Amino acid sequence: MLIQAAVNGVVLGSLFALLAVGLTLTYGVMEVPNFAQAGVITLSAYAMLWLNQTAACPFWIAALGGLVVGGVVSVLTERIAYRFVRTRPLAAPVVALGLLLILDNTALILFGGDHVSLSPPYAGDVIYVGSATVPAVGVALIGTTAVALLALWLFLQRTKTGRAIRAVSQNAEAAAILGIRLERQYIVSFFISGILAGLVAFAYGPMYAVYPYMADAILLNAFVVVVLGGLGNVAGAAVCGLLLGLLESFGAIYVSAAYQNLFGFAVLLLMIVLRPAGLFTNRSRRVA
Amino acid sequence: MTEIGMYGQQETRQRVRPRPAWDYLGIALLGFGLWVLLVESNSFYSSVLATILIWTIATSGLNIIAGLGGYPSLVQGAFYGIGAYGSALAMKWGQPFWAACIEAVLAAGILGLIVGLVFSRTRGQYFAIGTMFTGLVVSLVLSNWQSLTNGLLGINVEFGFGSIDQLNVVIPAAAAFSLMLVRFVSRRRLGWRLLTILEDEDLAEHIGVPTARTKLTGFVLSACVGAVAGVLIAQYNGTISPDLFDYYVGFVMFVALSVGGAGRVLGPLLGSAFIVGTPDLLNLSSGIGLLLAGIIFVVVIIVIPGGFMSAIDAVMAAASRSVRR
Repeated sequence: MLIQAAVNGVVLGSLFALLAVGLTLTYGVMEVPNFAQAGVITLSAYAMLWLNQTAACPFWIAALGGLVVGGVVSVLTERIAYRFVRTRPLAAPVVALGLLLILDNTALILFGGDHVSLSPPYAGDVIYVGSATVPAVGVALIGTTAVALLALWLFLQRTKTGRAIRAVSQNAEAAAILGIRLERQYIVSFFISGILAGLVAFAYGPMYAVYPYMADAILLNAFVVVVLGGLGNVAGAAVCGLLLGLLESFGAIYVSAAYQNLFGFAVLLLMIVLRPAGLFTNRSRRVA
Repeated sequence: MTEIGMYGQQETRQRVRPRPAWDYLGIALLGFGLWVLLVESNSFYSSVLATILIWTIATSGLNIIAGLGGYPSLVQGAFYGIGAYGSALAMKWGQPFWAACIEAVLAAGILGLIVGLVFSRTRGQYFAIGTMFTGLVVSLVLSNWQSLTNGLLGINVEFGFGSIDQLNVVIPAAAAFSLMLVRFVSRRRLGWRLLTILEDEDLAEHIGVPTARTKLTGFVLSACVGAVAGVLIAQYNGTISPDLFDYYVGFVMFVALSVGGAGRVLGPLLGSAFIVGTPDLLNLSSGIGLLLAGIIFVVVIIVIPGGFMSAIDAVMAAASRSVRR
């Protein structure tokens, strides 16, 4: 029981972390709460499904195609909508909701509202960890998250574009004065965030089901992780994602599964009361 | 507020349009007109209009904290739900209708106080995320606390008015009062203080505005008005279920306010009419309706930042210029 809860928690936590880094990246450069990320995940998942089942591509090609769709859709949301509300923080949540409605319902109209399953070749496999069982899709999720976070961290630390993105996220005006092309960094950040959404679709789709509103509820948990981890902080998002996943998993097993989301909320409350600066203090921004 | 401002100039109060009585009279007439419309329409249009008016009350409440104060609260749907469930449950436990109303509003006010105490420390997008999560928790409790709320099946609501005609009077009257309340608050000390917070919270704090207390007062007031809307929707529908108060409802109310015109007295009415009315009247299938709604939100917010009210202002200004010429 204890091991099972811990294993479930790590799987759930990896999912939260993977979602949260995509959000923290776009929030960092543009300060939009990108609720539309859930819609990008949905469209990317349907793209994988369509490529795999209707166009009969091998699963891995379909997954790659889905990632590209995620990246392109995410850049489109920036080009078509977000770039007009950069300087209007009150408008950003409304635009984000509008985009979420557009993306989710495009999926609904194109593919219908049924729950369908995305099945990778390893779908039925199960791995034993002591007395606990982990489905192979769970292991794939953990692995995907680990690789994605490492790659993102290296990209942000070691490449010129990565450094430019971090500069914009710290202070966009100063970055512009130093000759960094803001537009380019916005597009690159949204593309990466879309790829990360595609990875969520790839890892989360097989675990549950693909349907138009598949990612809406877990996205809120990811926002808690973003707040906990400090903005634009990839390491913070990863650690806090795992913590929140473990907490919700233990809560679901030992207290009540119906109220799983409540534990995330309790953490958010405690954090805002006790440590308003976030768990990983980030001097350039503060929560309160 | 003193007569002489901090730079020795006359305070902005001087610039405000005189004769507020006309505004109240206008709103009262509007309320009367809406009542006539509500009574004279056939049952389909009448029910759409009643829903629009109830949403107007809820979004007017939201207008105080989000419109005047600039704090994007996404939890208004939860206060709406607490008003509905609170009054229905209190009546089920044998309370008279008027007591049930007061208790429901009090319950929402207390929740508003607690949520406000925590989240009024946060700003901007953090406030949005925190309040949205609160809404999610309230909707979780409504759908999972079987013994209290009967879960997803919902509960029947005892009718508290003498007749449906009385309810048809109360709904437009309450909508008009909620508009008047926003008009009233916006020209009182609370409204001015909220405005300073909207403009520049740090500066407001600096010149001695008690920002924390002001935000809290505004938030609790918003919550109480939202609960009144909840009481009315419960009475109007006769049954309530958690899906009416799902967490995204608070979000949609915020969108309605932004599309109509945040901080403007009539913004909630226009926004609610648009958001509630369009899908019902066009009778679209849910997918295409929501897709259109999404496109329209995004276009309206990008093209007319101040919502419909600012578009109307622009048209009026152009008209008065051409008349003068």
